[in-house]
Amino acid sequence: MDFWLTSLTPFESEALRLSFKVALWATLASLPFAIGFAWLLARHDFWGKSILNALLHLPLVVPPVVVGYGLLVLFGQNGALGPFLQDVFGITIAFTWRGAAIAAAVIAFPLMLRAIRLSMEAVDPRLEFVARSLGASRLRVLATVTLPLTLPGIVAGLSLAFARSLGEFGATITFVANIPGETRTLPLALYTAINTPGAETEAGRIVVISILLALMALGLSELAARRVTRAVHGI
Amino acid sequence: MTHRIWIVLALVLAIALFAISLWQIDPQREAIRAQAANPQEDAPTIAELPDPHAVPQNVPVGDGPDIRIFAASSIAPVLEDIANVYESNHAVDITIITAASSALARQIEHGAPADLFISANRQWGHYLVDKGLVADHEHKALLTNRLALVIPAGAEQPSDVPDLHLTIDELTENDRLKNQILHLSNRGRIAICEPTAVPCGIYARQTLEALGIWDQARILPAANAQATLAWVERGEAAGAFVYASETTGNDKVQLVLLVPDALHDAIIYEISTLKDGPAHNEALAFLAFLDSAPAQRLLIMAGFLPPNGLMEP
Amino acid sequence: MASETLTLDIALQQGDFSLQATLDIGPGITVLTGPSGAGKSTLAGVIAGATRPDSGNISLGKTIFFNASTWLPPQRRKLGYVLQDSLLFPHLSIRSNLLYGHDKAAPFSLDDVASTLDITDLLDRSPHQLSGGERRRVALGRAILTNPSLLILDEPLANLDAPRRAAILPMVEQLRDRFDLPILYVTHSWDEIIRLADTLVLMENGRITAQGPLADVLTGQAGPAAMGIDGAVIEAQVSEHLPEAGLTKLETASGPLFISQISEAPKNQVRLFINAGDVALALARPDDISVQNILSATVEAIDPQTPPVVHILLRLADGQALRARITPRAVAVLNLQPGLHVHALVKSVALDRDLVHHPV
Repeated sequence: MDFWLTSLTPFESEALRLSFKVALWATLASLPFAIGFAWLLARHDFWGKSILNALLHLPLVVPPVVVGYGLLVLFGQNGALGPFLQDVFGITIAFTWRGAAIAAAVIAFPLMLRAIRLSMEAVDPRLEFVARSLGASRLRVLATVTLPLTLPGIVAGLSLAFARSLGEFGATITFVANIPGETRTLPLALYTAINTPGAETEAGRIVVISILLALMALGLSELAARRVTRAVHGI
Repeated sequence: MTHRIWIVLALVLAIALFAISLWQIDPQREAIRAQAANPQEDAPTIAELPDPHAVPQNVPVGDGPDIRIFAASSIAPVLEDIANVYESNHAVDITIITAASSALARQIEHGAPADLFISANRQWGHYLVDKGLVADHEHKALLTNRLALVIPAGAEQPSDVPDLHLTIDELTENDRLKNQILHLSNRGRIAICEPTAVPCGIYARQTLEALGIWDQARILPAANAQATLAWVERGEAAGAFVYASETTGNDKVQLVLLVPDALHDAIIYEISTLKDGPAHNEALAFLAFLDSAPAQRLLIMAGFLPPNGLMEP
Repeated sequence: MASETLTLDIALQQGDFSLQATLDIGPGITVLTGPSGAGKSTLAGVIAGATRPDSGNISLGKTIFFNASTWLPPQRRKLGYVLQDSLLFPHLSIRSNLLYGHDKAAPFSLDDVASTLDITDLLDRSPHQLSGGERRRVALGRAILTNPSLLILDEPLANLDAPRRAAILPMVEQLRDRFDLPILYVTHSWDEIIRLADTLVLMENGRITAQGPLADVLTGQAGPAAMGIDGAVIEAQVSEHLPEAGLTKLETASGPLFISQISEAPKNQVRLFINAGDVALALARPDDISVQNILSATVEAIDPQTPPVVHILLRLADGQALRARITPRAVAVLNLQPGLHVHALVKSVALDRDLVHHPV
């Protein structure tokens, strides 16, 4: 019974806090890109569109470890862009929570993109034309008609991306390693516990925490989705 | 039209991947082979030692029981070579499963079928004895090793003098070591194995604690000794604590220093024979081979040290 | 706001469909009609800026919408465009919908428009709470509030039941009259054409086959064949009401007409549609006859169609045209020839009051 009732150990609370932080930033950072590319793919035709589409969905089909390794090659201390970012902009990505957030963002991006794109495609293009005939510029149409009606898809995309980021493991551990306090999110903390003989209790606690966190995220996103759909469509 | 391009691209990619998977390079192994010591009287000469990578001509492979050895990652490469030599003369198949000693111990505890277990410290060997999986008399010290501080091959050696060196006092060896580690820590992270359970990491933590800089040093925990080496080889870590054996013939890293033994527990590799191993007898035979001259030579060429004068447990 | 003329001369190819049109749209209601697939909605879309023609030019007054070097995007054309699907913004209230493109410089306010269209009670509701007819009216109001130079209505009364249509039709007239708005009105419906059209444009297979004032097009060559309807519209002035008989007396240059009582006051002009089949001809004016509406006319043309009908084009004293449909035998018996003076008999009840059109 003590197992269930004690408060979180520093090991656990640190992992929980980090998971939250990484998932939140990963989701927020992906959002503008997801909306932008969704709009591009949903409303435009151009040469190379299917190639772009395939590239954007790559992190979904490629093993996460591959994604992590690719990020390492690009942004590691010894990578193609890493030293440049560090020297010119003073930004360090390798072995920091920022790197973990980028890894999660890249992995979760295709999920968010799909959800938003589908929702945007469902918006009647004639509504957008009517708005233009009423005098709205393209930008105003995007802001006042397209995006508000896409909102249910955006909420769904945010939820999916957040959930996926919470659970991201392969890319994270390959790119930014398993550093306590910086990149040791809940999945990585669980991995550490599992690989330590005798730490079964710890592992069990982390499993429970992870599940509770996931359920909470799921519940909130369901609530948000319903409110938004009602506001947009009155259903 | 577009569909056909995709199909062609996919096929080309598949063929390329397949070709890559067939192509094996291992210049390091070749280098070790080339560094062979003078052959002794009754031992086979280097010319006579079979190429570890060649498929044995006379002995039917796949005929016979499967010896499963769970080996700490630092010893796995040379163990592969030894196993290949043994397989060419005996009707057995040897499979080596490698990870951190702690991870392996956990897997065996949870029922993974193993015949032999080589851990990089005594703790994990004793763990299995406590769990009743290894008999008291069926484990012994196998080798020893040194802990080394390394940096990537092209990097500049860290200064052993503190930045503000105002006093004219002599620096002790420990002071020098401390300063070098701190300088490296300023450059980037220092890769070590997971300090809670993996032997290599435990030794590194003990060293840093003994020097009083455990909280200051910015570490990069890795899953096992090979993974730790990989981080510093790639230049992602500014430095790493690895086994000296991992630096032998390795041109991707350069040695900074060997850590004095006094700063950490004695590094003792232990080999245990599992009570319920499926190929128990064959495992014991292989164990005997490990003590033989050819095996020992390979171990020493790989940078390990014999457990001189170590007491039996 | 003075209304400007839209001038259009374009060519467009969409797959197998080819559209070529030269058209002027002036003040009043211009009705665009024709069979399905004629290209009416496409043409309306071209004017609104939804589709770019392959060649030609479009301009409204001095503003160039399209030519070889210019393409004015839809939001700068100052047109109102109302489609059959009202396409209200589902996430906005009715009020916000109406005010979406609101031009504050317009000479009319939200309340003016709302009361004209009878939607004042709906302002705070959501589109999904409204019925189809209510949504149409809101869509109209939304377009009007942008203070457009031209209003394009693409089948705005389609799929509405008779009471709903009867309610909205007068509102469309009010739009032209109260807000001084030129309207391009696309429809299939003869009721709406007769009722609303000042100018009528016929389209078929991507070409314009006739355009001009309603009366002229109806009695022109292309008339009956293209439209499947046979008749004429004439204008008359309200003379007096005869409530005890339930009738209103109208005056034309060719004689009085009696129709079922209408509400328009004396001295008002009204427009009537007279079906050719309801017109009989006599050489002498009959006295003892049930038909009360007798107009004197001159035979202008005799158009033998497939037997057993012959179409007669008649001209009234003030130049308005009338059509009659009779048998070849009747033609022979009466010895009808162009130039002959005759009397056209129109059964009173044929003048359906729903078709009565009330220009202000």
